[in-house]
Amino acid sequence: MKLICIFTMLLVNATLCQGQATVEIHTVLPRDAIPAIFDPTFIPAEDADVHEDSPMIGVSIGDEHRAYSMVLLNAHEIVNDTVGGKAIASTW
Amino acid sequence: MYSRNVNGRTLSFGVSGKLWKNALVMYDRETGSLWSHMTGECLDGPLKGETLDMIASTPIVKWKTWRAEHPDTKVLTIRGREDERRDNYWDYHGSSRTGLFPPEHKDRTLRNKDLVIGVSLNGAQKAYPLSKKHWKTSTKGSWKLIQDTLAGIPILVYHDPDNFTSAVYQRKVGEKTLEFGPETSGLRAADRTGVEWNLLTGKGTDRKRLKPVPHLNVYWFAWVDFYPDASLHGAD
Repeated sequence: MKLICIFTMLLVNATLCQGQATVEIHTVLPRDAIPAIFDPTFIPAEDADVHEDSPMIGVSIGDEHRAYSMVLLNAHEIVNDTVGGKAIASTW
Repeated sequence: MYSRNVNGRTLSFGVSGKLWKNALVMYDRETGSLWSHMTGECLDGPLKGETLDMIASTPIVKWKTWRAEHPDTKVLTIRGREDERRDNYWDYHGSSRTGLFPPEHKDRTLRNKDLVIGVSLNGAQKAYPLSKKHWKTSTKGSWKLIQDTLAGIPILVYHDPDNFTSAVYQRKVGEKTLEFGPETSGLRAADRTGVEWNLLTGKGTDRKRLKPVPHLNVYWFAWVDFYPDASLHGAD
């Protein structure tokens, strides 16, 4: 999980806050301005070009394992994936 | 990380462009409902009142560590790249800035940008501080392991300050509750009966497997804003 500070860069002076009675939700960007991944592609570890110390997010379901670069995920926020037969949303 | 199945239906999630408590709000393409990516709650829309099931994951691990334990892992690739050295948030992580909007709840027990492991189990939440000072006290000399009980469930919290891997497991396997010694050997730790457990995969030398508990690696100020009443390890 992380805060959306990239929004601060994109916002500049546009203040688009809209308060709601029950939960205070602020609109700071149009929908899909940050493009989530709906059809992710994966390659085997031996073909991946990743620095050995790069931070990854890992998930294992059944015998299937996934690694997502944290920095790549920053640019997309959500990966709609299916791991070990289970539909999951990978976010952080 | 969440299951995308809600009431027998599979949803797909996009970025709504909205923030709640300074954190990402997702929307689902099927109904347009809004969801908190921090708690999994549906905040608004036709599915309001539903909550996504959290999936246990390893929220941060070095590539070499993950790969060594999962040689058959698949890696996400986007436009021919699996890694990127430049992080849009680099500036943010190194600064004292918090979110765009002032948090509703504050707690000065830790510094705003101190990292905690946030655990949510059966409706109970607890934070384990990772700053060197607090972690050292919490582990009582073990350095890497905390044995605790949350919501009546015995758990093991693992964190390695050197490689920054963390994991949380239930300590109950079948009818037995495992007790761990203070020592770890790399990613491995032995329980009192001599069975050795891999703390990244949860696999034991007796072929059993520890049940992973979903957790987050999160800044203190953000955790407190979502769970102002959650307990903090070492403070109770």
